[in-house]
Amino acid sequence: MRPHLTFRAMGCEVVVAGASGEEAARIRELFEERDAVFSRFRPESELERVNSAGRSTLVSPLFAQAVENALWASEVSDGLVDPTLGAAIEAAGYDRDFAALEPDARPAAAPVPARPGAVSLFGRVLVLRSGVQLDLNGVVKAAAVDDAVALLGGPGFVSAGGDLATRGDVDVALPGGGAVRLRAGGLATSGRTRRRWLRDGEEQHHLLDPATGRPARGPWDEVTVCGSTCLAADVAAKAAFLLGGDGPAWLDERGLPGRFASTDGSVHENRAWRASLVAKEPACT
Amino acid sequence: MAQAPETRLGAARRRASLAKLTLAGGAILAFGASAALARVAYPGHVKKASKSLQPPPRFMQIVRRNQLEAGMLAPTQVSPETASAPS
Repeated sequence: MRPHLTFRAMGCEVVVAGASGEEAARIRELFEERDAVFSRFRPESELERVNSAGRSTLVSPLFAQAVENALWASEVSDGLVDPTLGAAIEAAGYDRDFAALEPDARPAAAPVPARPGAVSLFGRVLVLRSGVQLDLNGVVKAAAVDDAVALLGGPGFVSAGGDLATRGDVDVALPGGGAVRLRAGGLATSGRTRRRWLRDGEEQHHLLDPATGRPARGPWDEVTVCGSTCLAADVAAKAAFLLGGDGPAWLDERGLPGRFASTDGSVHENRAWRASLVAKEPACT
Repeated sequence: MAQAPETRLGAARRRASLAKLTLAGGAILAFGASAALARVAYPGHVKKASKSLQPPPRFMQIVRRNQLEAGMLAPTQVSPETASAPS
């Protein structure tokens, strides 16, 4: 495999393996473009323009695709992964680039629950209900990883902040120890151990319960899921995290392998995860 | 006073107006029948309510839900090249 390329985009470290010089340049360009379009912290980004315009807006094809992905994520996660939590994440205190966040003595602002059904897309016309603020970064980063891996001409992988998609086998270290070989699709971890901050001494993190608009509380620190794409893995990992104790069964119902690192340091694997790691006997010939 | 006997001219006028009425009625009937036949037979006319060519919404919902599917995992065989972590 060709040497790895590492750069920063979308607030995290991106690692690309197996790319030629031209492919690496195109992948870097892709991430920079997504960052410019979907950043909540760049006043000139399309996301900021849409959020400040309110109601109906004509959006770019790239933005429309991201909204479509977000609506799909909401549908398949039974509303747990919701794109209308932009105001809630700001109310929790995540109102600037994560690197610039510092402990704040002020309490978090009043929570803003998600507003299911407040986003509609008709071709490239996006209609938002009054007051809704979009936050698409959850799905945008995972979709960028999938799009980037599609640019590879041969075996390799792309990882953005630990969410990865592969073309060919790659061995991946897991949170809390252990490793696994990803043969196809994507692997994503969602959790509250990295992107967290303090408000009035109370810990906040970016995985919000859509019903309350507050950071979700539950038994898991980190949830890792293997999906057919990085987007599928990421959406399922977020949903499983937000479901708390019901997360493993929710993933099993959908045949998705999931690994749960709990707050007490133990690791729980669901049935699908255990089944996928059973070494297969070679077929008789 | 007794009615005067119909003159030959009067009888001719009555027959002429009856003939005109018959011709007019026939023309109206023929026009109606032609219009009805044209409506039934002309291929550009919609004969029944149109149906969307899109798959049923329930089918699309199932297809969308099926896109949330598993990738492929296997036991690790070499030391990891990368790591999965919360971002």
